[in-house]
Amino acid sequence: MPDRSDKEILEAAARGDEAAFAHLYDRYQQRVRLVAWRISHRADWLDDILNEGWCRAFNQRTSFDPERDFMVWIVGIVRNVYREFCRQGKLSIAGKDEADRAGEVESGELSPVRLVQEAEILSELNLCVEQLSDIDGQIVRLRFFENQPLRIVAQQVNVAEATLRAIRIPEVIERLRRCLARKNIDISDFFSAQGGGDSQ
Amino acid sequence: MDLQTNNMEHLLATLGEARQNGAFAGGAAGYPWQARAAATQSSPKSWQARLWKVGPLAAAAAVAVLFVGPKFASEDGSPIVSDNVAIKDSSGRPETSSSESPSTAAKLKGDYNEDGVVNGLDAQALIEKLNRGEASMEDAAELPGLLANG
Repeated sequence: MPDRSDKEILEAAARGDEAAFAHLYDRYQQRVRLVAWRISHRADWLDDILNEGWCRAFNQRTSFDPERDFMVWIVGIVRNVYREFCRQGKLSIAGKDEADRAGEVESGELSPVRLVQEAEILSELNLCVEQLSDIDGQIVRLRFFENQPLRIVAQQVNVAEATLRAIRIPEVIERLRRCLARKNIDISDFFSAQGGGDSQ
Repeated sequence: MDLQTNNMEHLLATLGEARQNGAFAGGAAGYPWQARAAATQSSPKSWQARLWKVGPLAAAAAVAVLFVGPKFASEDGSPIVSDNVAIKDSSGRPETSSSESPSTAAKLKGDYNEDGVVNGLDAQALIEKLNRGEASMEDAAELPGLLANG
């Protein structure tokens, strides 16, 4: 439905229009998936959480206020699904770790708004990484995604380890920071809610 | 190391973890609510689940009609003859009037046991028909109204 504005699509979905809701699914499902992972950190739960979340959202679509942020609304639903999963039988399989995470969610530390913001940052960062040159992309993959030691990364990309540490990696990080800045994304407080910031 | 760099490294580590865990994988083909609806409809147990909901309703309606529903006999025990149903003196079994054929009586709405009248006994017959797939949920939904109207 390319001829309909975002507002019209949201209003149509809120009136119960299934095609409009399907359009919202197509647009947001990737980001909602990322949020579901951020909430649960469980790859094996992702599809179940998402299926249940989207089905509930579909059934409740007429209660959606089109003046609200759709992502915040559906993330609230997905978060509730995750809480229920934790309280139900799956918790006994998942163990204490998930109980702690459920407590984290219930404490309100990760609000739907915050989760949406983080998903936005990660999605955009992912696009920025895709735009890097082959060698920079390889450095990011080896060093940050796979957590390889500098020595191994240096061998793989055929760059001196000192050069990699002092020049190449800072350059890559600066490129990514600029890429996000062009999208008006500030990452300065990204890990504030999780007590992060200590990469060493 | 400055805060920006530090946060970027955390972000990249989180991104890597997300990618490894399928957070950027493509969604399943089709829409979840459609897949669920299709699965529900094709489930062999779905009609049984509905029967579990409708069966007690029909049974309750039957009990209600038997105890508080329209009377089929006058206070002196003689059968009440309705406008279009005649009762045979010998058997007491309802019989269609001469103006109606037997086949018409069998098609009486709600008369699932085909005894010529709509009463609580039809609820049990309806349940059996539902079990055999010869009646629909709409029939079950209609029966209480038919019983109430006599």
